[in-house]
Amino acid sequence: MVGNANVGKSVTFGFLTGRYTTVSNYPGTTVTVTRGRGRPTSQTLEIVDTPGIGSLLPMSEDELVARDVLLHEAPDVVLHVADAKNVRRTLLILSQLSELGLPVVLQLNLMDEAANAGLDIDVESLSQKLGIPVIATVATEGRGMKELADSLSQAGSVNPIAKYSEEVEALLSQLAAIVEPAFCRMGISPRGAAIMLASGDDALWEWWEEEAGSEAANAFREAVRRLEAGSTLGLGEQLHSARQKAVADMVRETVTHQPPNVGVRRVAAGRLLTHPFWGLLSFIGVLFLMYLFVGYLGAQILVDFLETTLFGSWINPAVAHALKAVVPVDLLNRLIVGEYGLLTMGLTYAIAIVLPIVGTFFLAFGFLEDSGYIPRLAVMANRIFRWMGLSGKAILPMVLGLGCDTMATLTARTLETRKERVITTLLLALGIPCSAQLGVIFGLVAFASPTAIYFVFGVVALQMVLVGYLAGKILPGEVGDFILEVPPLRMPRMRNLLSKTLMRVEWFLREAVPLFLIGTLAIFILDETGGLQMMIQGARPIVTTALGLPGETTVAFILGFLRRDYGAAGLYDMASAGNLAPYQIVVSAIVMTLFVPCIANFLVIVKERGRWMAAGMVGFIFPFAVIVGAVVNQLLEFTGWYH
Amino acid sequence: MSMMTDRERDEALEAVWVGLELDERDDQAIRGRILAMAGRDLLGGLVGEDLVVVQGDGTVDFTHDGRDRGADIIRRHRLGERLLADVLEAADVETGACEFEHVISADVADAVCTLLGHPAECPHSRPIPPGRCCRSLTRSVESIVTPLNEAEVGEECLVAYIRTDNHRRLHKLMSFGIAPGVSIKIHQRLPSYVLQVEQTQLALEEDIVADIHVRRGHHTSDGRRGRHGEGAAGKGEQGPGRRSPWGLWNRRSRRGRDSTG
Repeated sequence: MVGNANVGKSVTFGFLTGRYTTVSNYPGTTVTVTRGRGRPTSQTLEIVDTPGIGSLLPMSEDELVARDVLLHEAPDVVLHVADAKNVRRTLLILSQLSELGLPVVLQLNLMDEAANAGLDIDVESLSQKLGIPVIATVATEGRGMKELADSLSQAGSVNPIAKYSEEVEALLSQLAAIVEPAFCRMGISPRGAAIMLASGDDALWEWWEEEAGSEAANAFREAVRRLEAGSTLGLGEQLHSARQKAVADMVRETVTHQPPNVGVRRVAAGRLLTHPFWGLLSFIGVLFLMYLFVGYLGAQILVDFLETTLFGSWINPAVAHALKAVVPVDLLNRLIVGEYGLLTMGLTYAIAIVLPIVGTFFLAFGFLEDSGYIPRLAVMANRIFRWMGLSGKAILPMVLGLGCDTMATLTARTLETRKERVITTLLLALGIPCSAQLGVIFGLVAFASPTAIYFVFGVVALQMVLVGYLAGKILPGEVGDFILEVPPLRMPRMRNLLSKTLMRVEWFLREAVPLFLIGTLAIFILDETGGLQMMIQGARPIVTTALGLPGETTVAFILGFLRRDYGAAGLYDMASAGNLAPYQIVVSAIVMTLFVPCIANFLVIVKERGRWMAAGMVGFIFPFAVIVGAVVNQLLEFTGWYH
Repeated sequence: MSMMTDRERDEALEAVWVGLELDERDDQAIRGRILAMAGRDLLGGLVGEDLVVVQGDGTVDFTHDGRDRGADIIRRHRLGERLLADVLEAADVETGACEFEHVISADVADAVCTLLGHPAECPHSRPIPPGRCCRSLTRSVESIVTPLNEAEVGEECLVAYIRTDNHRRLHKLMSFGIAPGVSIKIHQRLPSYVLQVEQTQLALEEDIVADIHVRRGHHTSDGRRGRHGEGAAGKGEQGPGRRSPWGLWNRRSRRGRDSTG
């Protein structure tokens, strides 16, 4: 499966395989290849979902991945998933597929949106011109999907779309002969391969030169040079413009424009969200609604029920009682139900505090993802990002970091330059709280005051801008172009929202709960051996004197090394018991947010950026978080805020 | 009869115009003129397209639509003659003008007209039908192809070409569907540029927008003008900037342009 970004490949993949993969409304949800098996008809198929592409000429690593699947895996059928609103862009990709000689079925998805936009597409005639099945679908509603599955067996080679001049054609047959040995056994048309090489596909060129040797490469270059000598245009330009022209002709013949039948209000709302003033206001509004949903409903009502009632009054006392009767060993009792017990601390934190908060957060975040709000946020924040030595494109990893910093650190790969990748990784580790942590912080800060959330994230954002600015100045290198597609606003579908939330909750339970238990065990052992008291004493100058926090918060910060949400849950527990004053909540929330990355994130940084870079980042972040916390503590004391 | 090409239609309308101008209303005479100009007898075709009527007594006249289109093509032809004669000082005015009329758009015609000071007659002393620019007595010519960032918010433009040394940038823009002939429009400038390219909305920065060169002020698909504020670029959802209730930024840039025009 290939196609432009955000056209519905993952939904289609889900339909064909019966497996759910994350579906959202922004380009770049899928950054790696997803494989699955499905029996959409009588045959079992192995189906490969690929990241969205702009064209078959890769511009970033995720596009390269998609292209390589086509070239190196000899697919039996290429399902080209396309946005029916953008026939031109679709045909550009299709013209490249046709040149490669791959068997294709074209899925024109989002037909409902195309109809609303007033586009009337002659699917029949398009299919005839192209010589392949063209199936109109609305994947999210399952419309046309049965026909799509049936048509897969009728895939055929696409009729040539672009027509080149005689000289270019002559050259192409010459080039095809040169590259034939390397591409023939891959089932790729040598002419198509030659066109890609001539269009400036550096990655493919590297591979081919290795394969075919420098003699063939020189012959190729020489042939191109001879043609270009007789023309004012380079070969690449001639290929491009012939392609553009052929595509424009076909669009004119198959697409007619009617007056749009649009949700004018929806379009207006979409533009409101990126307006310099109203957009900012909407952002504040979105934060407030999130606060109500996650900070109030999740963190107060649900947590209160689960922690105080379910675990506090029923489960924990019952288990403690039963244990005492059955297992008389005191140490074992303490291990399960003591102050740092696996049940009373580990499971209670995970299930009663973190789970309801991340659950509501995942739901709210999923809503934002599916609505198309997130790229609009990128439009708003681009200038600030420029200032931080990043292109606006870095906003996607950053926002994904709100889901999980570990995965977001991986998606930094999609950025164009090393400088951007390093800064993004640093800022993710420094200031972007992951969903679980963010949710708990929302809940934690709600104990201080409804406005405290703005103060906390204001301080964190300021630190990120500051650090980003300095890093942008210090690090050498360039920053790539900012070009981002803004998808239409869409009403999220309940079913997708629930599947996505469930999948993420399941992931949380699988990944986080074991770590919570291990962490609890470590704290338990430290406590039993007296190491914990020593650490609390040792950290007193920092925690108590500089940050103005009770000594017990040291435990939370130690847990924070393991997972930041676990640490935050420790703070939450203290705050809900009334052991933290409002200003202490604010300071500890800021320090915990800026605090060192969790273990999983750290390991990914090591893998992606190397050991020394990772060590350097942690070596910077840890003291930095403490210093910022100390400064905020002084500020609050001086101004009397939150006292 | 086979279909008329655009070019043949233009030539035939021109022939009818000249005939009527000289008060030759007889259908045989007009037929002769058309044959001479267009190479074949297209009077029936013009009637079929509702551009010309032939009365019962054999006199020929334009329909309303036919007169407008005739005036338009004649205007272009005669402006072409003036341009060649006055500015380029060419010897063979006629051949050049015949080509000229087919290749220039109404906006280029207005620009030429303004450049020449709204001439009333061609070098052969025949009247040049006045255009919109003559009625409004425009004194200065605005560039027709400009970088996109100089266009107004909400103004419908056509991509003319992309000018950049950055191969990656060029390729990226093309893969988002920005290619010569594609219609493009600015939604907003701040905090980032947001463009509408057919059905794609793109956010990008000013230096990239400046690489996209566009033809401005072309007719929109519903026949209204894309410029000079009279119809703006109104097409349903992507309506003109001034219609938006929060058009602070739109209006500001509009005012800036209007004062120069």
